[in-house]
Amino acid sequence: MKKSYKPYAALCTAVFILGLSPFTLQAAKPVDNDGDGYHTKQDCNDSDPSVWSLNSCGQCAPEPPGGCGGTTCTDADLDTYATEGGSCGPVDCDDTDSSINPAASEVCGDQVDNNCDGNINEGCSGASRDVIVMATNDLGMHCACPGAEYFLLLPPFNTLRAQVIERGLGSPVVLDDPNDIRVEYNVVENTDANLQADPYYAKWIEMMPKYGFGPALNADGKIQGLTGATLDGEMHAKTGEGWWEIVGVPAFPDVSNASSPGEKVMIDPLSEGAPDRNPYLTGNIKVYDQVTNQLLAETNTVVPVAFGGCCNCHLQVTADAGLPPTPENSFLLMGQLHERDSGINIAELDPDGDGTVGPVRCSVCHLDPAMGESTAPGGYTDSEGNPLPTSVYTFSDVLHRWHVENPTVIGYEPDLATNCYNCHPGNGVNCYRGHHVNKDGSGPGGELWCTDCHGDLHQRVAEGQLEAPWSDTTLPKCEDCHRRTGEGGGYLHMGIFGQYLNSRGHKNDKILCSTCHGAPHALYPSTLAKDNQQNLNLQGLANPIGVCDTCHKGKSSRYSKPQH
Amino acid sequence: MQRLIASAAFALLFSVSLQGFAQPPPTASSGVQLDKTLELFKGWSGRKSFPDSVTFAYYMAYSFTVLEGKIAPDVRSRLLEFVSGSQQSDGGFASNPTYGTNSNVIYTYYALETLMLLGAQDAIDRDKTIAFVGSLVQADGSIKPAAGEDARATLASTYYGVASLHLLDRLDVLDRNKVAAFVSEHQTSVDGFGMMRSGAASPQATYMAVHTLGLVNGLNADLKAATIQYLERAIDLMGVKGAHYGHYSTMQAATHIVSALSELGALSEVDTDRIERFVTSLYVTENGGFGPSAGLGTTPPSTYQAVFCLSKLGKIDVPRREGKQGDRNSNATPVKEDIQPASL
Repeated sequence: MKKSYKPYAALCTAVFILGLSPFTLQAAKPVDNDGDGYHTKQDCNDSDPSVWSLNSCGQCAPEPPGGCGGTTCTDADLDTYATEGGSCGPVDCDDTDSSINPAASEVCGDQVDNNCDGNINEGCSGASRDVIVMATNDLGMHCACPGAEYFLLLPPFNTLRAQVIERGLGSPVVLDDPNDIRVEYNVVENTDANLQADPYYAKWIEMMPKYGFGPALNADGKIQGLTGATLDGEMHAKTGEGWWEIVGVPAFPDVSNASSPGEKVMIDPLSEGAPDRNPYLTGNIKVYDQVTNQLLAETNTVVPVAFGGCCNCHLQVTADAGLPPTPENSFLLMGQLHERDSGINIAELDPDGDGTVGPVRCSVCHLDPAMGESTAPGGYTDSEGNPLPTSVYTFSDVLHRWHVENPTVIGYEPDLATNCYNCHPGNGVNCYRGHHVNKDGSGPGGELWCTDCHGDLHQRVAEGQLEAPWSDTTLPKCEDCHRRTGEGGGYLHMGIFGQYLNSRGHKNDKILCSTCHGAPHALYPSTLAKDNQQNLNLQGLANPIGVCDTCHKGKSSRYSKPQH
Repeated sequence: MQRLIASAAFALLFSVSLQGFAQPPPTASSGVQLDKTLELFKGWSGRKSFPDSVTFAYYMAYSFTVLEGKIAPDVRSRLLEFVSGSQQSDGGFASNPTYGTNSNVIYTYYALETLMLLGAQDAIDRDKTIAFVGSLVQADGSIKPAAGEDARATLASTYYGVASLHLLDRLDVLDRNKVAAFVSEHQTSVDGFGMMRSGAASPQATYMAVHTLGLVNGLNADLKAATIQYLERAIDLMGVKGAHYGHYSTMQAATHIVSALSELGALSEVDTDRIERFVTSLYVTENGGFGPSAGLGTTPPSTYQAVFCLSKLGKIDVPRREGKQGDRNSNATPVKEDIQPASL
């Protein structure tokens, strides 16, 4: 049988036809599948153009940044920037967000260090931030007593609160980061010079150390209160809680020319012919960007402070006792009455040991939580140096109960238990001036009087409420009359000044009730025009904040009841 | 004076069926709207805790009587229940039925006045009340405010005690001469009376003294004249800010001045226009009430006091009282017959 050479012939022919040398066919061209320049036989991974040879770790992989056995660089958000820095390169300051890295551009107004340079919003102008501020006093009225050289019921002590809201970012943002903003306050009418020229306040400055409160002037020579707060300064951030506060501003009713004659409505009961005073001071609040120092927002609120109503009655009683009606004689008479009832003549005490009687702080022996104390500090001694006991009665209890149960006092004022204006605060000053006053008597509940919220004094004494004054169990609650206020929701439970003052609501409990509704006793719309100016500026109405567009830009500009 | 007003008011109630009601006060030209004041009282009467105290009960009863000529049945019922419920086991009255059991002559007086206005003097144990007040009478003619050693007799407590006994028709319990002597000891060098012996004169003490002396026949012409002079000076201090620690520039002071002058029959001899201007200056337009002094908002006591003052000044059309001479109403001050709508 003969071999057929036809296949091989065909192949040769094909090779001949195709121009292939029989010798070439035996040596084919190498293949580079991933196009990295290394063909299959050279490339450890010819499907990955980033690798072609083994690295120093013996892996067919790119060389690790720190070399084989060096630092591990973490890049969880895969933006090619690691958190470790050093050999890993520029630091990614937020490895959860790929938009935040050293190569990113800074975004203004988002309160984020977008480019990881340690600064927030650098290069951003203030005009790009749309911010509002809402401020209130904490109680609606404070009392500050004259006659500090003899005794003290209440010192100059005022508290302001503010909330700052940035708009235009989608949902408004409540700002409480002191690294982001700075909130400054200033009691406009009270200046250091004005108060030092005020004869009553000058006495307070002199006496404050004698009460054990420390010097009335700080190291800078500025007047300071019991907490160190001055008449102007910075509010403290309640970071995480969403608000700002300054506690213990040593404000005092103004007698200076800083107040107009029309503003001076408070009568000075101590001296016949003494000038009237302004009890509704101006608290100017300004918000600044901490980075650019630009003014972002400003508002004014009322800083209310007046003399208490004690003076009127006590000076009359002093005169009735045949003594010239002066604070000193009133103190002497009170000392005698105190001795009659307790065995201690407070007008004979010399607490500071300077050889002269006084000054005596009632709350040294009678606990007053409003002084920030949880027990009566005690420490007074009699003339022989024997320590005097503190009282089992709180200041509120002994003051209110004694007055309302003493028939001689009732003979002067039969309505003492139900007519709070006798004492709070008196002298021509409205403590109770808020919305509840504006009822016209035609509603189903009729007029609201002090006792509707606070109770008659007989009731309060009988129920032992005054044994625990200033507590959330004895202070009024809005929900006693108003349903579904949200009161208690987000309640901070600070234990003093009640639920309304410390409650928050409205969308994740970020807004203090008082921010929208105003200070106690001065609820919006107040009968005092000055109280209403802030809301008029914000929403064009003196009512509680109810125009959504006030905080939620672009939302409804119609007034309605917001979600609580 | 409140006894006299109460008597007049009682007579008014009694005469309603014969004469009809007094019309609600018309709107005044000066801005004071007494119909709004009436609505304010109605609003207060709708409160859960109404009337809050026996003193407030009296203010409400009096004001409704003067402003509307009547007390609505439901209001009357609540007032009666509250006041009668405030009587304590010793016969005296506390401030309210629920809280506090300390009875004294002050609350007793207001309770009795209220019951008089309600025509319900027999709704309580009168004998016990008489015994209570009688137990407080002291040897020197004064009356203590309450039982207990610590309670001391003052001009005020004596006034309330004497006035209470008058309402109970039992002034015979007292030695009138001793009462007069005790009260007279409170006259001051400026001719008004002070709350305490050797104390400063005040409208409140002066009225209390005048009323008490009137009840025990202790007023003489010289005393009247001197007291009127003091009250005229007090009127001059009305509206003067800061005068005497503000004591004269209050609605309460105005009430006592008006009461005392009315007791002395001298209201027409003084500058009543000034009194009226002061009273109406304390009107609160927002709700029709009156404040206790300049700058302060409405309070129930000061609103009642304003109504009282305006009524005594003839600025509220109170229907003519009726009653026999010699009866308990005989001391009632005759009201003006030609009263015009309030020119306020």
